[in-house]
Amino acid sequence: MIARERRVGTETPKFVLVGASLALLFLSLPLVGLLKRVAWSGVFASVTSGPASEALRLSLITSLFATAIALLLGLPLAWVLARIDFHGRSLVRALVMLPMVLPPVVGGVALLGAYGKSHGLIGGLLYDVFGLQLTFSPLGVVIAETFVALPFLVMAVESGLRSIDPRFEESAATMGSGPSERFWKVTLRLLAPSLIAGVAVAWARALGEFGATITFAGNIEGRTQTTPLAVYLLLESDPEAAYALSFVLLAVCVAVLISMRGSWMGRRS
Amino acid sequence: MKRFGLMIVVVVTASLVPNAACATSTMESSKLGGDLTISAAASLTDAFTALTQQFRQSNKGLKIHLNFGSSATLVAQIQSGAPSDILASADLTNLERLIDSGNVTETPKVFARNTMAIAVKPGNPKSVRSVADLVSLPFVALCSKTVPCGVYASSLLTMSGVVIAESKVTRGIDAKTTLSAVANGDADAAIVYKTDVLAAKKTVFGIDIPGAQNVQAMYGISPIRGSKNLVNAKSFIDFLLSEQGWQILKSFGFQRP
Amino acid sequence: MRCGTDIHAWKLDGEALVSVVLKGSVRQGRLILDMDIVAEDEIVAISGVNGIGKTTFLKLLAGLLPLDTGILQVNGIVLDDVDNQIFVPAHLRNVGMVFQDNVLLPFLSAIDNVAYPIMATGIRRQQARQYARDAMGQHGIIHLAEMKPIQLSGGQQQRVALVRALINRPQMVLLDEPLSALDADARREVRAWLTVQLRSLPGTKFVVTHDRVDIAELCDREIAFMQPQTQLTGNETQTTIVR
Repeated sequence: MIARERRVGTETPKFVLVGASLALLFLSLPLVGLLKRVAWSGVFASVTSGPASEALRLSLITSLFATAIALLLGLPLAWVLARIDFHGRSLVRALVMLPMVLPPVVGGVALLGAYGKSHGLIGGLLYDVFGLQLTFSPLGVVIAETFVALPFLVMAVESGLRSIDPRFEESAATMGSGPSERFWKVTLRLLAPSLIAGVAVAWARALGEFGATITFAGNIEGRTQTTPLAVYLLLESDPEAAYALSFVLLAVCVAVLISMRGSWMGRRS
Repeated sequence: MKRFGLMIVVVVTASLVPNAACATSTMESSKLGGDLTISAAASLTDAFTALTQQFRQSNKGLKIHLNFGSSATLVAQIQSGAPSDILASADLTNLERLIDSGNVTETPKVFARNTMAIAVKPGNPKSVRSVADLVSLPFVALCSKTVPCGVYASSLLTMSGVVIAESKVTRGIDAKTTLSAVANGDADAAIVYKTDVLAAKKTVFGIDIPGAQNVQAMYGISPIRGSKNLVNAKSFIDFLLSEQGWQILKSFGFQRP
Repeated sequence: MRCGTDIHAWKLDGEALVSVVLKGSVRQGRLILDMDIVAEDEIVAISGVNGIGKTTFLKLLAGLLPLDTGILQVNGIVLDDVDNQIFVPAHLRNVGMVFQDNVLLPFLSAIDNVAYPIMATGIRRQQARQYARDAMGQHGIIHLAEMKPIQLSGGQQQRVALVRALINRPQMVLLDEPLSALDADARREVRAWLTVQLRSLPGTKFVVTHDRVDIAELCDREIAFMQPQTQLTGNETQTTIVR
């Protein structure tokens, strides 16, 4: 029997239930298939040794950095897009969304064009002046991951900002809070659910990034071989480890999502 | 249904032509129709594109689908049931894996030989002359250890007694992407097939590796068991092994097996 | 308590008066104001039909909205002067405002809401909460201190919002339909309470309302926003306040 409906009048049409069940089936079957392939007895051993554990460690560190940078850059950008009316705003917004629609490998090629040592717009400069080579480095991984994750954060935060009742900030202004104080004490607090959602989505995207990473940061074991890359390569040489790694990624994501308990779904606002 | 009907026609026609299986000029065999899916190693990209184009000239009703990747990946795909009619592999080991798993029942035919070469940035800015010089470079691109190109590179390095620290090696998933790391990226050198270096033309500078230190990559081809386009497959293989096919391979830098 | 539609009545004695000179336009010319009033310690009702510009007027006074043209002076101090590019933003003006629907910060308790304006002046949280506690005690709402706005009834929220608006003893108090969200019983109760609180305050209190009972009971004077008697051109709503 289905769980009780919230109230009469919002009763669910049958075809909606059918569609939802199909969707659920479509998504869950591959997950079940994956879980079936995991050799449970060897999981812990597979992921705590060798290239697999290196890849996990690298992925966790780079994705956290990438998410942090995406937040630092994305929050101001979202603010400008949401609150300042300027010529060409739609164009800027489209530009910001570009990494989302760009095939990741193309994104990697674009990053090479900007930050690559040999062909990059400023990459060569960075190397000549600072001796900094972004490609083939963990920093390069962070850059690639930030590039693909940033739009997700901007999108969530911009939408959150637009949905805030402006009267809260107006009220704070009449109470004597200047723009800066209002931002920290009122806006951010009201924005919290959207912010958390944006951060979660951005982090998940960064964690799973493959095409841009392998193209820009390369595939160096221990330095730039993140978990998705490792899984791809391990599929041929050591499938057990590949499935185990995939499972760990899956488990981490599920754990984070559950711990957020739908707090981004707008229950508090 | 239409395809099935075509197949009947093809089979009937093929059986009427004497010695259809012999390596004769394509011009003499009857026109083929239907589909043909070829899985080929990445290093065969340019050669096989040209070969299939030529093959289609005299078989205009034939639709050819090319699927390039590392030989190891292609084997995995076929073992998982990918509907491929032919596998052209960059080594015989992978074909043996398919024989072991029962996906190939015929003896593979060796159709080309390849060697490795070093690719560096145009103009050879770091003055690389041999494999030994690679040790001093910041980043070298090699194929993944589990694909033929990577296996060859490893044996080549072992034979030369050269050890490159893994932290300086960026592994490409196949020969083409490995080379791309030098042509388009920041890798200083790559060890890939000589044919790839030739195909890259001016985007990289090629350095030969002397025969004594080099490996011989043997390329093999075989139809896949259970293929629905077996006649097409065999016909293409015959074309590949013919003089005309060989000329095309040679033009891309492959050597006689 | 003489409220009527006699908008020509003036009270001119005493000091601590608040004079408002507002001559300008906003909303792309759809709201034109010409006002020069002096109102000391009075509760002034702003009445008029919906959409005519009452809330806009309050926002102009509060500094939440700049004029398109014209000038705004309070007690002789220029707060908004378009020609000379002077604009004093809301947080620097000496006002206390209660919005329609109260607008208490939902993530703070009642006492923290009341303490907010105090902390905005730089006083530390402990001390600010103490002041807030005193004020809430004075106004009879101390029992609501630790409750979150969502736990309060409409009337209770209204009271907290008012105490919060008054706590820094602003020169001008602006109330936007303070009783409109309440049901009849709560309305009576809060109106009585509001009258007492507002009466005991110095400074001018502007109360936007369209309820005749509110006007009759609460205020000393009424400023009626109305469309001019002359015919309108197109869709414009011109509101001219005449002294």
